Amino acid sequence: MAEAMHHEGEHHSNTVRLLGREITVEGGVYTVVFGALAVLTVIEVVSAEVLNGAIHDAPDAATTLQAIKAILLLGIAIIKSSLVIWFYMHLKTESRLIAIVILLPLLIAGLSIMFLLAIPPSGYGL
Amino acid sequence: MAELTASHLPAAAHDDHGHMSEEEHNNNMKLGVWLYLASEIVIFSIMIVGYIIFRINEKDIVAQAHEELGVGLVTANTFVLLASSFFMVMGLRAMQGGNRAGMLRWIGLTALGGIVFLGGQYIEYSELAHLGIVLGFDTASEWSTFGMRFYAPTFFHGAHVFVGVLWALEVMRRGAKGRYDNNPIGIEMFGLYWHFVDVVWIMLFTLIYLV
Amino acid sequence: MATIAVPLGGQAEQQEAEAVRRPALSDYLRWSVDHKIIGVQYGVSAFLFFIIGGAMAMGIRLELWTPELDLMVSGAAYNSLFTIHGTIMIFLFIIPMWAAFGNFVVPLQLGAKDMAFPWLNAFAFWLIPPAAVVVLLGYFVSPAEAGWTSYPPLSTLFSGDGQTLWALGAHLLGISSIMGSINFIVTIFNMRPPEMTIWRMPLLCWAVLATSIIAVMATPFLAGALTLLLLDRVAGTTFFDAAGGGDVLLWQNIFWFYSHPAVYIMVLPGMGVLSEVLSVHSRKPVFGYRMVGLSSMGIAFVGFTVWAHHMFTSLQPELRIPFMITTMIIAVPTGIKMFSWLGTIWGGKIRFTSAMLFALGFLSLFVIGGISGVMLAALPFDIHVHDTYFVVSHFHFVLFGGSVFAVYAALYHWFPKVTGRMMNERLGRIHFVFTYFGFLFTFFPMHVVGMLGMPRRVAVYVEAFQPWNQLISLSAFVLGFSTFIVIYNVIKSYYHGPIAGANPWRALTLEWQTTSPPPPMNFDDDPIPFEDPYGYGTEASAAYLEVVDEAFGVRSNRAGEH
Repeated sequence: MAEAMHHEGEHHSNTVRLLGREITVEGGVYTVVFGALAVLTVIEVVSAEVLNGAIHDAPDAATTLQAIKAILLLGIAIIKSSLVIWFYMHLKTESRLIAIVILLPLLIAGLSIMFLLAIPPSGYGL
Repeated sequence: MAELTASHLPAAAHDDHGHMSEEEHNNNMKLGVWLYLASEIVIFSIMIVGYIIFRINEKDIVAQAHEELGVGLVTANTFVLLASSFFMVMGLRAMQGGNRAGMLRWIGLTALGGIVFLGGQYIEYSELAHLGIVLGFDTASEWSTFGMRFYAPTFFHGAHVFVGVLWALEVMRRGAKGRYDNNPIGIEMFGLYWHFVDVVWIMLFTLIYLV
Repeated sequence: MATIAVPLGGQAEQQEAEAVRRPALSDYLRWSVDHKIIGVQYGVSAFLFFIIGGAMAMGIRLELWTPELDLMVSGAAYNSLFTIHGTIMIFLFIIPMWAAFGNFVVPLQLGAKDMAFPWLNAFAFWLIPPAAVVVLLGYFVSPAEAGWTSYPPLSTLFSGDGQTLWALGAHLLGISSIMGSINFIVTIFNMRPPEMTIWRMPLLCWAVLATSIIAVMATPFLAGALTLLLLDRVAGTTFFDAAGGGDVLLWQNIFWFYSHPAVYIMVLPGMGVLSEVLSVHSRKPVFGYRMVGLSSMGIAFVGFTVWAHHMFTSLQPELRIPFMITTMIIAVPTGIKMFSWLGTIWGGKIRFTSAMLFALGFLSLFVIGGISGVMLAALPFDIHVHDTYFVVSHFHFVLFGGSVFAVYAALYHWFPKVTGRMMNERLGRIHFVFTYFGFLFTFFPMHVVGMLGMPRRVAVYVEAFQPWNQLISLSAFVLGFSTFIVIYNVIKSYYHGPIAGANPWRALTLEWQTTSPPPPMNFDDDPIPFEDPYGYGTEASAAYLEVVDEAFGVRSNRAGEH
C-alpha cells in the first residue's frame, strides 16, 4: 500500500504545475482537470450556438460551416475524453498493455464506423 | 503419498499457495475491467454509428430536433455527470489517503450525480414524448425515424448510469464496513467504469446534441 | 525440479491409487470455481449440444434423401431445422468446446494455480444452460427461420417469436463468451510464473490468447446488432427495415464484423491444439515456434478486415476487389501454420496414436477447406458458386474437418490428464477411420453438387442431384454413427481405462508435470518449465522427463513406452 501511495503520490499533492506556474488547489490535478472539462464544455456549447446562428444566416456557406463545426466540436470532445481517460482513469500511470487494451477497440470501432459511413447510402435516408 | 505431502509441507506453508498476492490481484482486476470497457466501446460504436448515418442523411429532421430540444437541460445534465466523475476520483483519492469518511461522502455525491442525471434524462424523454418523438416507427409521425436513433444510444447510456448508481451504493455499503481500508481496488474498478460512462456521455453529448 | 522430494518404490503404487482419485461425478453438476471442473462442465455440455446438433444434421440429410418434401411438412420447417442446427453447432458447441479445453489446459500449461477470475469463470459457464434453454425453447415455440446469420428482413418481418428467443439466447452466449475471454487474456498476461516467459508459452496458449482478443473485440458487434434486432422485433423500431428508413445491409455489415472474426474464434484454438499434438506425438520440436505464435495474432488481426467477402453479392461492386485481396492475404498466416505443421512432423518419430491420427486428419482436411476458401475469395468463382453447396462444403471442411477433428485430437490427447485414465486406442483408431471417411464422402461430393448448381438451404431440389445427395446422406449417417464410438470409448475408458500416470505421452509442457488428474491447486510444488516447451529429442529434455517420472511414479501404459 505504501508503494501504491508513493506511486500515486502526484495525485495526492494539492499543487499542480500548469503552464509554468504552480497552482495549489484542493484536489490538485483532479480539480484542474475538472475545471478544464467545464471550460471546454462551455466553449463547445457556445461555439455550437454561434456556428448554428452563422449557418442560419449564411445558407451559402452552410456546408463549410457545418464541417468546421463538426470538426471543432468533435476535436474538443476527443480532448475532453482523453483528459478523463488520462487523468481520472489513470492511464497516465498504467502499463502499456492497458493502453493497447483501450486503443485496439477504438481502432476497430473507428474503422468500422468509417466504413459504414463511407459506403454509399444505398439503404440510408430513403 | 503421505511422504510426498510431508515433503511438500514447506512449500504448502507458503502463504501464496493458492492465494494471489494483493498486487497480483489488483492488476488482474484492473486489466479485467479495462478489457470489459474495451468491449463496451465496440457496443457503443454500433449504437453511435446508427445515429451518425441518420445525422448525415437527414439533416433537416435533426436540425429541427435540435431546435425543439434546445441545449439548456442537456448541458446542465452534462455538467452534473462531469462533476460526478470528479467526485468519483476524489473519493478514490480520499480512500487512498486513508480517509474513509471522506470517501463515503465523495462516492455518495457521485451516486447523487448519477441520480440527478437520470432524472434530467427522464424529464427530457418526457418532453420528447410530448413532441411525439417515440421509439417505435410510426408512418404518421414526421419524427418516426429520429426517435429510435436517438433513444437507442442515450437509453443504453442511461442504463449504464443506472447500473453505475447501484454499483456506487454497493461500494458505499462495503466501504462503510471498512472493506477498502487496506486495498481500494474495488473503488478503483468502479471508478474506471464510472469514468468510462462519463467519456461515452462526452461523445454522445457532442455527437447527438451539438454537431 | 530439484525441490521435489522423490518417493519411490512402495509409494509409487500408492501414488497410482491416488491418481485415480478424481472429482465425483456430482461435483460436475454443481457450481464450482475450479477451472478443471469448469473445463469439464464446458466440454460435456458442449458435446451434448454436438449430439443434438448432429441429430438435426441427420434430419437434414434424411430430408434430402429424396428431391421432394418427405420428412418436413414444409420448406419453412426445413428452414428452421438448419437454422437451429447451425446455431447449436456454432454458439453452443464449437465456441464453448474451445472454452472447455482452454479452461482445463491453459492454466496448467502456464503453471498457474487457477484462472485469474475463478468466480467469473463459473458464471460465464452457467450462462450457457439458460441460454441454451432459451434457444431451444424458441425452436419449439415458433422457430427461427432465418439461418444462423439471421439476415433481416427474414429475421424481422417473417420469423416468429422463436427468432426473438434466438436473439436473446445468442446475446447471453455472447456475454458468456466475452467474460470467458477476458478471463483468458488476464490469465495469460498476469498469471504466468516468472519462469514462464511469453516466448516459452505453449502454442495452445498463444492460440487461446489470439482467440480471446478476437472474442473481446468482435463479440460486442454481435451484441450491438442483436440489441438493434431485438428492438426491431419487440419495440417497433426499423433499424433494418427499408420501409421505415432502415437498412438491411447494416445488419449484414455488423453481423459479419463479428462473425468473420468469429470463424477464427472457432478454429484458432484447434490450430493451437494441432501444434501441441503433432509435436508431442512425433517427438519433434515445433518448426518455427515464434512464427506460429505470431501467425495466430496475424490471423486475429487480418480477420477483422475481410468480413465483406460474405457480402459479395449484396455489396457495391467496387468494394469487392479490396475484400477479395484481404481475404486472400489471410491465407498467408494460415499457410505459415500449415508449413510449420508439416515441418514439425517431417522426419519425426511419429506415433500413430488416436490423437495423432485426428491431428493428421485435420491437416489433410483443413488444407482442402483452406483452398476452397481461397477459391471462394476469388470473386468470379464466388459469384458462380454463391449460396450453393460448394459453400456448405467449404465451411464444413474448416469447421468439421478443422475444428471438430481438432476437438477429437484434443480429447484423445488430454483425456488421460483430465480423468487419469487412458482412452482405448483401438476404438480410437476405429473411430478415426469411420469419422474420416464418413466425413470425406459426406462433404467432398458437396463441392461437386455445388458447382453443378444445387443451392443451399432448400429441401426440394432438382431430381438430377438425387444420386449425389443419397451418397452424401449415406456417408453422413456413417459420420453420425461414428460419434457413438467415441461416446462409448469415453464412458468405458473413464471407468476401465488403464491408469495413465502423470505423463503418458512424455510431453514437456507443464500440464503433464503434475498428477493426472491434477490436485485442486494444480501443482503440489511450484512447477519449473523446461527451457523449451517443444524441445523434444535432446538429452536435457530426456533428463527433465526422467525427473518428472521419478517424482510422479512411472507411467503405466504402453503408449508411453514407444
